[in-house]
Amino acid sequence: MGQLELRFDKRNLGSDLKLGVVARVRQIKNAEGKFPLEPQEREVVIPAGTSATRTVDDLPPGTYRIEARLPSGQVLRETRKVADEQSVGVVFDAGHSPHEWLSFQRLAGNVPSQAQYEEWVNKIAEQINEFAKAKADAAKPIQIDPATIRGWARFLHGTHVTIQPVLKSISDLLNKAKELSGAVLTTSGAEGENKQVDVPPVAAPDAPVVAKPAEFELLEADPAHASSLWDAVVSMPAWMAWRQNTQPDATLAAQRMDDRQLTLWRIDQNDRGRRVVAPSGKPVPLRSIAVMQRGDGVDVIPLPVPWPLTTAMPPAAIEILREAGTSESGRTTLTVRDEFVGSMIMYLSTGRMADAAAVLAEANHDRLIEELISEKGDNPFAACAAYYVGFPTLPAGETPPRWINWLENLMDLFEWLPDGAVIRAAYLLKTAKVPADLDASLAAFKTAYRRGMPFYTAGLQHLLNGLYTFSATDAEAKAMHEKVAAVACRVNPDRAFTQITIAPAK
Amino acid sequence: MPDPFADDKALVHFVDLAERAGTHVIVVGIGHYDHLPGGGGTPTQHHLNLKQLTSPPISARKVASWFIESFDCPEKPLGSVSLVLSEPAPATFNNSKTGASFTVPTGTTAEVKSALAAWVGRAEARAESRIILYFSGHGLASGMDNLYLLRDYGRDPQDPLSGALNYQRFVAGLATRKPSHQFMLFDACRSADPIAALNTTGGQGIFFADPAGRLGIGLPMQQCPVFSTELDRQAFGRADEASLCARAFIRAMSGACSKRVGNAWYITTDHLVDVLTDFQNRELAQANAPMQQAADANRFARIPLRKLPGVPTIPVFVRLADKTAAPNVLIRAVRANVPRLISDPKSAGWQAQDIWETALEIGEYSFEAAPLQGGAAIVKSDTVMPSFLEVEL
Repeated sequence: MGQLELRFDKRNLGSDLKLGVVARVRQIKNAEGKFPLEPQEREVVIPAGTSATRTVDDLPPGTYRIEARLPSGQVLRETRKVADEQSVGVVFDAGHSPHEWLSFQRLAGNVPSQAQYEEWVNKIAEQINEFAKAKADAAKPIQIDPATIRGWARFLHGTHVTIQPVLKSISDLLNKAKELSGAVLTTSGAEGENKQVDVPPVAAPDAPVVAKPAEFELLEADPAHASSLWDAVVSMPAWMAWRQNTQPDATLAAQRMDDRQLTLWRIDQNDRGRRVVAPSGKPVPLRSIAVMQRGDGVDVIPLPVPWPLTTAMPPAAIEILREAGTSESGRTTLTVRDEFVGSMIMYLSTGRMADAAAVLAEANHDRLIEELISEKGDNPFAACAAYYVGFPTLPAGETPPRWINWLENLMDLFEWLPDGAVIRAAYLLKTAKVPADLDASLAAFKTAYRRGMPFYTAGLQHLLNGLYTFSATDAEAKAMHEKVAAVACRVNPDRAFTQITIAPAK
Repeated sequence: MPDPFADDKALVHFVDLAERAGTHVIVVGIGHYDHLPGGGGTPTQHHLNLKQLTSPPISARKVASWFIESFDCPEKPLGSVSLVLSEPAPATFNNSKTGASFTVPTGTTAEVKSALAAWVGRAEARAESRIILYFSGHGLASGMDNLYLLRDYGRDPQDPLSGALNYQRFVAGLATRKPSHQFMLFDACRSADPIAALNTTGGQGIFFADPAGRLGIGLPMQQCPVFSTELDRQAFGRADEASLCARAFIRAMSGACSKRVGNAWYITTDHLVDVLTDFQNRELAQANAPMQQAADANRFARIPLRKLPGVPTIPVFVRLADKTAAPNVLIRAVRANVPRLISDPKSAGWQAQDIWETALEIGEYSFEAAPLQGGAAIVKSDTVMPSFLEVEL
């Protein structure tokens, strides 16, 4: 038997991501060079970083195709021959990040490599040529030189087009091209390339209502009044009124980096021990909220902090990537640099649930999840992610893993965490055997609502559907559903974490 | 046993499964909209610049025909296929397997509601049933909300969305019904529109959400809705042809999305989003179209959609580096000395193509382009495996 040593090469991550990228190992030939009758097929998770490797052992001699599937959907393929008693190394490389500080975002699939950009823009240039040729009055095709292509790359990113979503139509692009003809490229929110600035929380407690929101703020909310956020995020006037009565979050600090098209906010958790006393008498953490300007509106993101809860473990770095400065277009993405569940969340964020489940399975195999979410309750946010990925991806008929039982305690142990109550409620609704299970489910959904907005989009989805399910028979559930529905239409469903866009008042 | 066709005008294929759990399919293609411009009905002022569509009914016919002709699943065999087609005139559909001809419902809200109720009603015979919905037509989106427009969208000037399906309410209601494996593919635009944002409770939920609907059922509900495109994006299809998504879905179900589980092969939802995306974008790239269409899902369940009776066949796309050589070469794939013909210019009706598409069983093949006049053939060896293989000779 032979073995493969797999690694995903990614520099500047800080430390290696132990569970980084999902890879599929498929045997395509046996030792005789024929397609095997019973080909080996394994799914593993390989580390991302500079040194750690994942060993895939007990492989019969033969030829193997190894596919690494990145959270962005990009697939990298390598083929290797493996002989008896032989160890063969495979290193995947997805290309350089545009900047060192975007290394993690490149891995998450939120930004393309510079090479991808330029290749893509070249294709667009070809399209423009085709278009020009097709026009009867086009005397000659449009010529675009490489320097201009690099400019286009910056321009396209600045108008919220990334390598993945691409254009709605060639006409959109051509219209933009006409507008740009002979013009100087403009950018928004830029202060020069690769600027790095430390930014303190900028909210002032007695600030008057201002016409324009700040570019970036970190605010704190009293968990006892977290449900007031349901009303606050449905309009700009409501938001600005709520915002006026809130405080900057002093437990967090943000570092701003930008390259004119992309702005990265790296949020450090400087004080994870701060607590307030809940009505139950228990100490609970404050809710932290990141707010970013989007045109004349804002994006609001409840931050999953403290991550982890215990100060005995190092804090996870939280990153928020904003495209296109403070303009109305462009995506906002929150990522968490957690060495165990970070990549699971990346896959969750791009809708690749099967791959997210592969990361979870590996973590479960290594008993990492059990360590993280056991009765010690060190990391309830990781526990919630595990549930959101794990439960819908359990193969039918399979016995639920042991950690499912611990997840049910999330509601009781963390009375400030809406997702814990949502998970309990959704689990009961899905598996109800007697009417009492339904009663408990409804009660848990209502508890979740009162705790405020779930941190995960999946939690908001469960809450929306759960309250609707009971709304025909329960007036309070109906009223709660209407409030949640008013928020859900402002939420980006393609993000792992809840992110609300409040449009400007018209 | 009462005649199942008598009670459901949308039913075009039925197999009596007796006590067995089966697969029940409904296919809805809404191309004609009475109250949009050119629809012939009283025009709605809330037309949202939407136009009449030709692709959805064609896509729906193709998907329905594929299930009738090709869906075989030893675990949950095909139990029924129902079809709703909104075309300018009432549409007829010929079941190629039984030879029967049907005039199917035209896609009004009442007709769709009735067809969906009958579809789920048939599947509720067993909690283990698998239900599959394919919808093609106009769609609007706002955040988590989607609205899918039916034929009579805009008929009621006071409530134009009474002619639309409210996605969130629909899936929430359906989740309280007995069939435990629910797969839905919405092949429609998800263009952001203020009308969707202002009317989050608008449209039809179709199914009343009954919390007690699944009490006593041991199986957890596994529901997996998939969208053909991302939020704020359009779904594409050529006029008078099946949509990119419909074609991708058929390829996925035929074998491209297969996965080996133990000793058997299954089509699963595991990588369906990626496979749909790959095929959709492959076709767009082939047509030199400067856009992309990525499929999307923001909730997920791991559902087996089909147990294959044997080894899957995988789409293989073969092209010649020198396109002009096509009339002069024989293209074939050879495995274990058994040749599979891909292109023979001497065959009747042969036409040159840029790319030949075939489907081959998993395994290693020798692909050959042999000159008809003799001489050295171009040969390449490659392994056919999910989800597809491209070969250039």
